[in-house]
Amino acid sequence: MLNYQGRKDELLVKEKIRRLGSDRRGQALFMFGLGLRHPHHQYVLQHHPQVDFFEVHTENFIAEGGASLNFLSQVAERYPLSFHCVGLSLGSAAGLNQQHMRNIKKLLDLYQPFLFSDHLSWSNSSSAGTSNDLLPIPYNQESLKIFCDNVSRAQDFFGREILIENPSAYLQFKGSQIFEVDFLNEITRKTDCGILLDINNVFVSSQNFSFDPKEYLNRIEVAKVKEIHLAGHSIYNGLRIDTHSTHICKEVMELYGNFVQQHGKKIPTLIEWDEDIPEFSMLFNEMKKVQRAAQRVTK
Amino acid sequence: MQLKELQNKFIDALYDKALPNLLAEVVDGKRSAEDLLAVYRNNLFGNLTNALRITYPKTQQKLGQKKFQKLCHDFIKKTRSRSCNLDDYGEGFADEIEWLKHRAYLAPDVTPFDLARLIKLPPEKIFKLKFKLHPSCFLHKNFVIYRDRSLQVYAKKISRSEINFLCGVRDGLSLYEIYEAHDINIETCLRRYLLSGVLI
Repeated sequence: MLNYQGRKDELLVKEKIRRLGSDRRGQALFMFGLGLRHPHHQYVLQHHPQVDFFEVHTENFIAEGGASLNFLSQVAERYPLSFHCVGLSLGSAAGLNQQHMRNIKKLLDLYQPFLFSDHLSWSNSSSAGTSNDLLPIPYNQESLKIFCDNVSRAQDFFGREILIENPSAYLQFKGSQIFEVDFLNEITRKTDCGILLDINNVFVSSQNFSFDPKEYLNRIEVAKVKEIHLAGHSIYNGLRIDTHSTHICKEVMELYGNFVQQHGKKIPTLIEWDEDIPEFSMLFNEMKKVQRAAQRVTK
Repeated sequence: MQLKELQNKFIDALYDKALPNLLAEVVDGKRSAEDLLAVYRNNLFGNLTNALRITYPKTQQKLGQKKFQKLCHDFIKKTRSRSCNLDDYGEGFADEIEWLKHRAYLAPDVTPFDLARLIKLPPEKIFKLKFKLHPSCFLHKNFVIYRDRSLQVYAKKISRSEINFLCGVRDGLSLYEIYEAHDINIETCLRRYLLSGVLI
């Protein structure tokens, strides 16, 4: 039986293993995480739920000090963190906002998250202001060059890989000439960035634009997929909206199961729930449901 | 249309109204281009309203949900967000004290002056001390806004002598100079603001 110090050492080793995302034999661990939102902050600190990692929206922690950073530091002591940005605006023709980049870098240097991501989208214009939202890009050669230049600059500045997430989209531009997944694959080839595959977003866009989500998933550069997102969405007047406000739907669970089974790759998987946020226990159960589904098909 | 122009027009269309030459760039899908653009407009107004709700809880409480929404809508229409950080949005929206509380919440961590250090000093040295205000401390009319040692943020109405004391500290005066200028009870003020972590 281990004494206290032995137990503590064992826990530390386990923690280090978890941070690396592999077991003692170097086999990849299947990590399941949750998006950490404000209503659950105190619960997580008090109960230390068994979650492999937590993901935070990096922009929620751009403070110079105070309670939010204090909270993040406490979480980082116990859990591996993933930083998910919503404001780098990598698709902006206006380029990157240097002040925002410095703010994000400060957090990256401080917390050293094991994953770091933003979206295939833009939010800042050159002169009209910003939307603070994930806006769609026309997929063509001009935007591809701009996106790749911005990703390369950002990766050089941060000194690390960025994962790019496919967004949910509600409109398409006439100037789009490339299928989204091919556009995303091309970015990874040109910049060596990774992919954050949001299977709910693939499904939402596929329903809004009438394409086959399976074809999208078959075409994605699997070797570059370093994280998967799952969430629930809503339907308003026939349009699917990525609300993150409900359970993951059956079709998305099926797509996820098939993807994991087909590729047999243990990719860290995260469950997001950002609106109408339920009790932590419900979110935790949603994660366990996903975990069971993944384990069934990867046995 | 070049991407830079398209993005400027897109943002214009979200804050104001859909522009005909932008709509011509959008594919009509299951809904009209204008309806599809409205999804993004709703997101933008929703996100910024939410940011204002977080920063101005008392204003919302005072006005009620409906009036607050209307106030937000009018404010957003005339005040575009210019920062990638939503915490920067909302200055001048309503009560300045709520805005300063928000800034206090986000201010840098600086270790407050240690009371134990002070106790060891002889009175003549204490009177020569020049403190600074913690970066989370703001003075507004007859209010002090600050974040205490447990990271809670407060806005408190204070007396004229306390205002004079804190203004003196802010302006770089020694305790003796503050006393000379205002004839106030330095010991009471010092104790209160050292304990609350306002002085550094």
